[in-house]
Amino acid sequence: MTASQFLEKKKILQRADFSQLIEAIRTKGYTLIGPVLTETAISFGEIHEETDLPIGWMDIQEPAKFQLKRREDEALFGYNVGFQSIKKYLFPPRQRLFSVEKKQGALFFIPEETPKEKYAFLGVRSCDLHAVFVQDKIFCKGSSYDPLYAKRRQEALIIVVQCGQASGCCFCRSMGTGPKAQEGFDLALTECIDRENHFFLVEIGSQRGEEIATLLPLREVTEEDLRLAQSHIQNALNQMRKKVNTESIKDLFYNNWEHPRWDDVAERCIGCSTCTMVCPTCFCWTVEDSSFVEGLKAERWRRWDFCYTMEFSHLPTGSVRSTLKSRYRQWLSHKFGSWIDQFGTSGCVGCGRCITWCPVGIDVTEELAALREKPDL
Amino acid sequence: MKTNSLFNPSAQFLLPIPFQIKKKKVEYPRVVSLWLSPLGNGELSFKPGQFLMVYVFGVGEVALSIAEKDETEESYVLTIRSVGTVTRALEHCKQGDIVGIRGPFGKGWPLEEAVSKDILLVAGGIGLPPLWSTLPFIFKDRSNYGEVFLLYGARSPHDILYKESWESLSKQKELVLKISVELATSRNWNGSIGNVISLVDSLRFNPQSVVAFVCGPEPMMRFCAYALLKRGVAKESIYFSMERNMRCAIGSCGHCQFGPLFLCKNGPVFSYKTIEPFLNIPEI
Ligand SMILES: Cc1cc2nc3c(=O)[nH]c(=O)nc-3n(C[C@H](O)[C@H](O)[C@H](O)COP(=O)(O)OP(=O)(O)OC[C@H]3O[C@@H](n4cnc5c(N)ncnc54)[C@H](O)[C@@H]3O)c2cc1C
Ligand code: SF4
Ligand code: SF4
Ligand code: FES
Repeated sequence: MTASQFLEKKKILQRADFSQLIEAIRTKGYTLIGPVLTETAISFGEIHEETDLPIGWMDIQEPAKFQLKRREDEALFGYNVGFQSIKKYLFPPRQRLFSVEKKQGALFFIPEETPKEKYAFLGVRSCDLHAVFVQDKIFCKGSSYDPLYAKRRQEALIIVVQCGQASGCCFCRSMGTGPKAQEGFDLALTECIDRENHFFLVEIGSQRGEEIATLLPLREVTEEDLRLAQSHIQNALNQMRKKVNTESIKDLFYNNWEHPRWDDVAERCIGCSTCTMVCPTCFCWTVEDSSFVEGLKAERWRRWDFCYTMEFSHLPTGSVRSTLKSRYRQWLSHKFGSWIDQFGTSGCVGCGRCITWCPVGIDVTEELAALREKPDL
Repeated sequence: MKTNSLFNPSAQFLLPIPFQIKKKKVEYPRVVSLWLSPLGNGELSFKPGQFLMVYVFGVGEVALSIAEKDETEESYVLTIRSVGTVTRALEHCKQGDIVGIRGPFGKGWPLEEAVSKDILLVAGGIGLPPLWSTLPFIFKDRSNYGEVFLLYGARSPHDILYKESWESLSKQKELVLKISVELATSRNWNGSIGNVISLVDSLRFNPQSVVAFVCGPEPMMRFCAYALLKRGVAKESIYFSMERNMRCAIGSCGHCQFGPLFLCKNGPVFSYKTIEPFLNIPEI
């Protein structure tokens, strides 16, 4: 059966039966990861039961601002995106690459074991799903093929939640990544709430999704259900205020390596790397080497790295990008420009995290707009 | 993307294989050559200009060009300038020590572009090893090419690599060899003094039919290109071997980016034409 045939399959899951979905996923042997409340924000964490979800909460996001607020209803997924995406599970912040043992002077390299984790991700937004597609292009293809990523990715069950609201920082529409996920998920839920109803429209996107769906008490869809789901997504579109003009965006950078706006943003940016840390597509990493047990065993670990550091472009003759201006330019021009030449896609999916979490409120959509202004020379 | 076929269990990911240091030679202070030999079947087939990632137990891993394959010693020769953590550890390695190797990586020099043309090899300092590796490949099919020039610039007569090879090379009729040093006295040096670029100006080659391979510090390579462009050599016929920080060599870690290019997988050898748009952008 092809993916599009699955996508024809839409069913309804009642709110009251939601815990059966969690149950079904867990009985299939998955570690269930979903949105959880932290002290001040929403993040991804392990879900054991539905009360682990931030039921009845919403988020208010603006540049340099993330605030939690009680909703008037008891929506399970009534917020946008939290601090981090599911990247931290598929491409962990720290990962051992190999260990090596020294025996009578000889070295024995011991490869890392195949990851055993079998994750199910619940509450993945369309932008974050597209971020996974972006990382797939890096880690599942060509010379940069990464079997550790590929194994986790292959095992992963992805349950999208379609967006019914947009935050003050979202711009997925401009990037062509949302708010509605069309394919590439196992299941997609649209949470519909009106006066007397609270239910989920369930879209089945794969064989694996179908296997979960058969374990659930689903009913057939009515025209009225579809209308309600449609208005839910329309609501997200209506709320989305931020925009990026992506026309000839590569050339915007290739023609503007020198532009007064780079100096301007370098005055504001403090080089903290937060934007790269929260970005669901950033893939750069570095290595750490250590030896122990009296010098008989060593390990090599990889960890996320950030182009905002001086060490990132270190050469014995000095850092190639020694100024903050050049490092900010590297980040923005890579993400929105050269990424397209490298991987055939933008490196930005419009999730807005870098805007929300930047401590000084630098807004990429504004920076891009300012770069389009002709510099007064 | 079809997720059920993503995982390839046989892919070896960033895992070195052990090689032994068969021989070590100090070229001049802080620069050593190491002869690395596979333990078991570790035959490397490489193109001149390609590089290896060399791992030192518990210390780290660095990119090093293959300078040559020594058939009699059944080893690969790397020449290393000690400038930091890992290169220092390599400088202090002893014969018999084991290191880890990955590679070879990158695109080497496009010798095929040079067929029936003159070849101009220009090396500055520790930029010599990747060009050195082309010589056996050129001599093997010497009649394929026109004149072959090797220009090498060193800091002083003490800082000349592969000293024992130059005498026999200079007798080779098939190669025009010029070495210049920046610092020397008439007592210790009777060759040219000055910048390697000044050698370019004095050469007699056909600018319409020459391919230049250049490796050295970035400013030196740029000035070399300007000198060649002034002589009428086409941008497409000038090649640089570039250097940036490298962690993975497979296009994954992001460190070696130069504009849209990954030096490790798209390079390190690029035509001047390809990199010109980025070469003059400070801190790109
Ligand atoms: C394609 C290529 C070929 C090279 N061939 C040679 C050669 O034949 N002989 C030689 O002496 N040197 C060569 N180099 C340079 C050599 O890789 C660096 O001198 C070396 O990485 C410095 O590492 P370090 O740990 O001693 O220095 P540190 O300053 O302690 O550097 C720390 C780490 O940063 C990274 N790093 C630092 N400098 C470089 C650099 N220049 N290039 C890549 N990564 C770097 C490495 O991972 C290194 O371990 C080559 C570089 C490249 C990119
Ligand atoms: S650049 Fe910003 S908005 Fe775009 S994907 Fe990364 S964090 Fe989200
Ligand atoms: S743009 Fe903001 S989040 Fe990113 S490094 Fe600069 S100050 Fe930090
Ligand atoms: S060295 Fe890692 S991407 Fe090139």
